[in-house]
Amino acid sequence: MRAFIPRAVLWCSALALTLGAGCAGSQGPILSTVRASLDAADYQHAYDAYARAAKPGDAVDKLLNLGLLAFESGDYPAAHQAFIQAGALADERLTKSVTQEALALAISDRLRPYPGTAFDLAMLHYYRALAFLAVDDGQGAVVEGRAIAHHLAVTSRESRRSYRDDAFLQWFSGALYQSAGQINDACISYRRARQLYAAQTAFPEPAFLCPLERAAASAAGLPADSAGTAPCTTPQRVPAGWGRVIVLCEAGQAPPILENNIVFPFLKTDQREWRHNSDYLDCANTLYGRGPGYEYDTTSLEYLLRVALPYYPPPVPRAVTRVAILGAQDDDMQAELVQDIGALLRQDLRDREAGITIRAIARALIKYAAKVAVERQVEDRKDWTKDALPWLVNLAGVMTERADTRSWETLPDRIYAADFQLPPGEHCLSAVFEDRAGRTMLHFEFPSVLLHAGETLVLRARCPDTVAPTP
Amino acid sequence: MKSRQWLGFTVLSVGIALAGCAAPKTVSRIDPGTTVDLSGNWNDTDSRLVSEEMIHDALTMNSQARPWLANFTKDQGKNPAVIVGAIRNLTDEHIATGAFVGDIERAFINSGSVRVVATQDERTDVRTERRDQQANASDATVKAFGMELGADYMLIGSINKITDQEGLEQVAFYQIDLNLTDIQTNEKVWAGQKKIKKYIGRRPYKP
Repeated sequence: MRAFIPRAVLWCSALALTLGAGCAGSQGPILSTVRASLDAADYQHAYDAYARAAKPGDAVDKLLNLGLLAFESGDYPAAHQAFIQAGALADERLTKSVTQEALALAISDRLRPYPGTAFDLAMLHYYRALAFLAVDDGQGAVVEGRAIAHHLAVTSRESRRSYRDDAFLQWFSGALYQSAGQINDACISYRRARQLYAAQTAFPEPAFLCPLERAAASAAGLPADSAGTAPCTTPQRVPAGWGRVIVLCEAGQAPPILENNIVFPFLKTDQREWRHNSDYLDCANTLYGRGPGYEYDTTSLEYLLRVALPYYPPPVPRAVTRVAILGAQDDDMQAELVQDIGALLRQDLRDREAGITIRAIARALIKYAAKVAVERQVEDRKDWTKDALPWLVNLAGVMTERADTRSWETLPDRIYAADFQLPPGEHCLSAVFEDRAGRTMLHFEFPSVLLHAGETLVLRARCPDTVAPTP
Repeated sequence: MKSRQWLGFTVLSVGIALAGCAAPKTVSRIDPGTTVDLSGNWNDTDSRLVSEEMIHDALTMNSQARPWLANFTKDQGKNPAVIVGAIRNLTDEHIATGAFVGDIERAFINSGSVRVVATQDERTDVRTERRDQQANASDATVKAFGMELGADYMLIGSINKITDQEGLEQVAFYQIDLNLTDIQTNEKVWAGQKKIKKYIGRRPYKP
């Protein structure tokens, strides 16, 4: 094994400790407080606590959390500010820092700035659009709708992960296009949404989408058939002179990423010559392929490499399973499941899992190599440094071995939506979130709305999965 | 390791850590005409280019007044009155159209050849003030209702954007169309256009 220069290793170890304890500090405690407040539907408290403690700085994940909490609390200017900053930083992060990448490989993935996932950046525009709608700025919302469409067009071409396009956001973008009179663009977005819903099996296409797509195609003068989508099962119901109401009901909380410690055996027969980062990665690939449960003869064991990996806890049963809309023309109007954010996030982590694990093993190898090099350098010494220095290097390695658990945690777990027409006039609508037994979890009454002919209104409510049901 | 080395190393570590965490900010005044492109999004330079082009195109052609302006003055014996209508933003960016529209209004007014009528929002404020005058201003200074200047032309338009992106490279094409429409006849008497194309390249790596 090639010996490191002990002094450099020691300096790096102490630097790792400093960095690990400083900039890359865990958000765990504050996010626990925030999640508890969100569970209690106390959004203002969640926002205040996070704004006070998080100090977002230039962390995209923190800015996203802050933006959504500001939005939930009705502080729309602050929400826009945080989202704009998060978007700009995510754009900057497309250029990777070689220094940070090298430090992250050697010390901890947390030293890499969180770049924001493609899904994060799409949802950022969704919430900005809602924030514009909340202050009756329809034009601002339409701009965000176009930004969603553009973002998804790029992602669908370039993403190497499962999340390439988004049926829900395509429909939402289409609704915004339609509200601005851009019926051709609306039709394209609706069709894309239908194709994407048809391509997945987790839940069916919402019943309102097909009539919308057909009506938009007819208005735009486009042919009625669209490849890959089923014919409409519900009648086309777009009475002339009515207005359109979209109700978005968000339920639960996105699962938090947790940390799991896994041990990979490093055998005496494994590669021991590491000159470059790629050597560590090659060796890590071998260990990853063998897996943590690899059976080995204890005499052949060189070292047990402990790595910290991110994981999502198993899904818990969802309390809210049905959302009824009261006040619509249809007495039995239900909001349908249109976006399963929890499932989407889990899949995204699964997509990244192999890469994260191999990097973590490589990092553990680097730390192990540093420890061994220091042990060799000081083995002839007679003073206290003989034991202390390897111990310090090992401590640095252990303390900085943390999984990257950053994510946009304040997102809801899933979104239900209803999209229907109402005659012009004043309407009192409410959303009733129910559990599997039909008990009401939350009866959310929207402020009464005055709907004009041809207008599109968007209403939104959020319900935690944890509130006690009322019989 | 000697204690002095430890001290040096500790200071360096803390320094690096602090340098990494801190976000120093500097602010300095620069000439408003300076071109500074940061994100590649629509910015003040684009707004200035649009207003310069539109003002030049709407008011002058080969050092002479534009036909719409010359014809109106010749036919009506007075300067035309223009009102600014909606400039539709059809892009995926939030664009403050008021910036270049304000420049165009100012150029119209300062040219002495075109009169500008207050916009819808401004008129509402002015009418509120006039209503207030009816109750509070002296008879000698109170302004009467029904004496507003009716506009002859309305300035309306749109901003379109086409984006092409591949990896870290992006090309953004903006097209700004403005036109003056005769409010009486719906005839478009002037159409101005400005195209802006930008290449936005990002480096895959930095130090």
